[in-house]
Amino acid sequence: MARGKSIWHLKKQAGGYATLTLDVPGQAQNTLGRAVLDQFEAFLEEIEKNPPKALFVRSGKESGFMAGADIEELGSSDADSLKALIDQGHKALNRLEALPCPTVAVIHGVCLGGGLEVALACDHRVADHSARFGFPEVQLGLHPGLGGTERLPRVVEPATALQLMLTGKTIDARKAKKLGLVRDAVPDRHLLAAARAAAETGKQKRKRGLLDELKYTLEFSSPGKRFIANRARKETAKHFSEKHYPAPYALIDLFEQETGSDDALEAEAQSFVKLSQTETAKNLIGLFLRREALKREARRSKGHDISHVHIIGAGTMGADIAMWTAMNGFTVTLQDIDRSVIAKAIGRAHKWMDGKPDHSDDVRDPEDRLIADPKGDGVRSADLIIEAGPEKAEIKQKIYDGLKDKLKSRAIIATNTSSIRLETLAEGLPGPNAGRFVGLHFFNPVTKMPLVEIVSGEKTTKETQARALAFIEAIAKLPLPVKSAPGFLVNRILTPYLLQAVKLIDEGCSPEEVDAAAEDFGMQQGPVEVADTVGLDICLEVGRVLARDLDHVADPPAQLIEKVEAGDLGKKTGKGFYTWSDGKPQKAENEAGPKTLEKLQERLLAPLYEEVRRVLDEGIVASEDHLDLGAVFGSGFAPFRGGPCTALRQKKAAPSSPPETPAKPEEPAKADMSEEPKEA
Amino acid sequence: MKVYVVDGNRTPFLKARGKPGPFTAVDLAVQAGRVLMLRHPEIAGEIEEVILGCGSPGAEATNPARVAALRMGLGLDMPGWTVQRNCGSGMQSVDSAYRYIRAGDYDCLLVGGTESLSHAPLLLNDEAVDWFADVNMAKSLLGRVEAMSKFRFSMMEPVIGVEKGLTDTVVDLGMGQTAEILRYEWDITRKEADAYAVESHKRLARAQEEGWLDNEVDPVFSEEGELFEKDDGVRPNSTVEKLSTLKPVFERPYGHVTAGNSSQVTDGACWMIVASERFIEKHGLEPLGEIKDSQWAALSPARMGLGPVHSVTPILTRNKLGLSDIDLWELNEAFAHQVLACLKAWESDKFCKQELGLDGAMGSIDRERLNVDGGAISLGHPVGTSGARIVLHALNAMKRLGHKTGVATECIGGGQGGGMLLEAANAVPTPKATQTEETEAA
Repeated sequence: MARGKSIWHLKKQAGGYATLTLDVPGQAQNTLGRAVLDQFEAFLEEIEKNPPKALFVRSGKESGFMAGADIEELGSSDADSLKALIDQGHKALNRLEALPCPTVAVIHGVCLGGGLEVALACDHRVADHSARFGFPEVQLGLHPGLGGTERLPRVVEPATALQLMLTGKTIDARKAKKLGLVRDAVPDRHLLAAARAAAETGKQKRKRGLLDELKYTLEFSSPGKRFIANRARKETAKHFSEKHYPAPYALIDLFEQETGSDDALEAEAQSFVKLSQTETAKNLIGLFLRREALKREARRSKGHDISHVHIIGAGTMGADIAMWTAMNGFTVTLQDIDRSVIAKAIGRAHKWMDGKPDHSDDVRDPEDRLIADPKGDGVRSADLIIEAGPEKAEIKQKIYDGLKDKLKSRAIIATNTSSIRLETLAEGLPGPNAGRFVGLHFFNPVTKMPLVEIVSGEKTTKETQARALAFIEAIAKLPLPVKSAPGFLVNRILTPYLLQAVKLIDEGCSPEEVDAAAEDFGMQQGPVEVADTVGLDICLEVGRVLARDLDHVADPPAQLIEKVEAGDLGKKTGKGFYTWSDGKPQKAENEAGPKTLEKLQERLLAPLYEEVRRVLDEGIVASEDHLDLGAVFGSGFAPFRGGPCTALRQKKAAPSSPPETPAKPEEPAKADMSEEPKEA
Repeated sequence: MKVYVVDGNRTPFLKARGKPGPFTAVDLAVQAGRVLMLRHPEIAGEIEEVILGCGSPGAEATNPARVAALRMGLGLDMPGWTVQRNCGSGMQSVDSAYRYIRAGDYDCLLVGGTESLSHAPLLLNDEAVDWFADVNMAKSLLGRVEAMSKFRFSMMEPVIGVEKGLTDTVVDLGMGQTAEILRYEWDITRKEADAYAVESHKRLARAQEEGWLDNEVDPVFSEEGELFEKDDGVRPNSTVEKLSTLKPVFERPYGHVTAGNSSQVTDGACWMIVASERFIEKHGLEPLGEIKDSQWAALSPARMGLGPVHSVTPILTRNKLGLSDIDLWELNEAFAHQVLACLKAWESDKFCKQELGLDGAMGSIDRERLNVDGGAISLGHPVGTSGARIVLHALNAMKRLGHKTGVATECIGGGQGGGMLLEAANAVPTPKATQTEETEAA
């Protein structure tokens, strides 16, 4: 933060009004840190001395009101200095709340975490339609720390408030208006008028209707809070264990025991500081920062120069890539030799797109941006062609061959192959086209999996790789650059671990035991369940490819081959290692005790860690950070452990004790966060 | 300035099946238009304006042309306007482009027609509208209650938009009734008409089978994930015997015009890129054909079916052509009786002298050159689209058959007719002339 430069700007206006504008120098987004607070207090003093008729609080940034706390500062603070900072923040916001004049938060764009807490300390909130609200702290293993846990349940219905904080979900302006979080949600051209109107109503809070008041009183009573808390605990336990993710549980405790009490803010501060020192919070914050860094690396001033994407192959992968890309603002043409397959894809896309907010600048609906193109005419105007055809080299090469004469001069050809060497596929391509040939390895299901591996072959140019990275970042996916090598990163480290799970079953373990061991470690899903879900035939195929191409990888275990030969392929056939019904595996109770599970964990993870070491040695990814991100967002590796490299480091540092207990996370691969379109 | 049709396409024509079909008029226009633009990426950025015919724009868009242009991604700065000339709407859009470009004002326009008759609205009847207005205007609560009490169940009876659109309010005749009038005037038998209808189906079925429409019809995909590839009103197994059992629909019990020998109520859209000679040369395009002339004419609404005769005759006279000089005819099949009446009118000394001011009969049209791949009876007649479709199909069929001269013409509800004289592009010296000549030779 540039010293000396002003962070807040106080401006007096006609009619006795004043506006306090936050504009943190040198940053695209406002974040809350020590310097921001210091100067805020100075201005508060001035305002207290000479209060205006009403005070408007707003942001000078185009991107929005405030993105939340300065995560970097937060992540590097020790308990004592953090506690001091929180206390300072509480004091400042209490002073804001206590000002004698009406205060109005005038909100556009992102208003998250600490930003929302500032807004909540104002008497009124008005927003334009670009505004987004939320408390994402829980995804970092924390909960709101600047009075949010106390003030939100007073503004919106307590049960809803708790749910917002527990899920970390972002809501838009209209929803915020519906919940009563903002007084007005208007088009930007009416924002100032709405702010004035709010100021005119004075300091009094919005009155609730009789029914709402009754509901509020009930929910705010001790039995009411207890009921809500118990229900929330049950719901949370379905997704996150307290052992791995303590934050949601701490939040629920706060809600039940402290909200509304005189000590509420102090209790919130203590709980927040305690959580911040857990390994979970540190790992989740670290993951968040590394993820943001990876996104920054991918963005480039020159852009990707891609506006039209042509996709060949309308099977599940192609169709999903198509609808995802169209939803994110691109023109997409979808080709397949089978028209009925395209039709199915279009139907699927419409169903998925229906009702989703479109944040692109394009006036067209995403449904209109996605064009069925059975004749493949789209190739000639496409800037990027993504081939998602069958996993056969000859078929893919034939597809590329058909493209050669139609391509625009800078068009990139990308393949979604997961197992064929890029160098093999590029064989038939003329030099310049081979340079513009790259792998874009999406994961299934595309809408849920945040990661995309950007695979560079021997001939792939730097420019092509950079454009591909920027494109993937532009469609709100996490682009991970990897070298062309068997299994790339994710399958390379994931498959030996899955095969090891089968091997353990070969040796007599039950699938339930094996999965329980992995879930106890913190994996989102046990490896046996993952294998069943992915399809045992696919696991076998990838396993064989790895065994063929890598000397140290053993052939797939016998039981896997037997299952595939018997036609028991997992979820899709209703039977694999588990019997599936209604899309769920029928699992027996796990009977193994903690000691057994710990041993199983060791054996399960050994091949994964072994591949991690080799992948780093071979330079398949650029760094341990990249590897961790790939493992968490591509394969569902326990996010609170920060990824395999981080987990290994922490294991070595504390060999005897397992990682400390922690909070709910930035959700990993299974998470839906990537559904949020690009951040502003 | 010479005016060419560069290329065009259409959706399959989808028969209205008693409830709203999968596509609105704009949806259909967008589906076909996007694909046509993909086929010509070098032209997409050169289009100066979009003109679209539409008989009954629904509530979704009062100006379907502009909405379709935006939804197709032609850009915020793409002007567009919609034209309504009943069954002549689609041809009017082509004619507007023809005249603009001929005058040198424009070089490249995207034109066509669209219609979703299955989405035609149900309208409130006048009684209901009055009631609704009274209720709204009542000043006091009591007044409002009083106004509301005047509700009668007869107000719930909707006016069916399609019926209304296909009725001529000036002479108070349904379109089918005008066909009955021509049937009587020209003494056309039921059997003749039914035989004509059967042939229409057989010709369309053959064209589909042979793939002659593959260049013209692009499949459409509904939001439900359904695929529509072909004109679905065709009945290849239709016979005169079967058709003879159908009851008259417009004038019971003695009428002759049945659902079997009338055009079908159908949804569909059609587009064409129309461009100037200098545009063609600049971009090295191989156009489908040239628009040589056009004419609109009007006559008694009760005899609207003779519109083609009145519009085409002046074109032929002007260009010193006889009926037999035309290699290929697209005469829109509103009703079999009406098509046959047109043919008979040209064969009639009396008619040609009295009504067209000629010295005698114009002559006969060889049926083998008329509606060679079927028409509105087998394909359906999306009102605002058909005029564009017959121009496009005439050009495509001329190209396939190596014909030089063609006419596309249609009767228009309300008592009008429209016609266009077309010429195959191979007569044109373009940069790729050699290749086109080879096509002709073949």
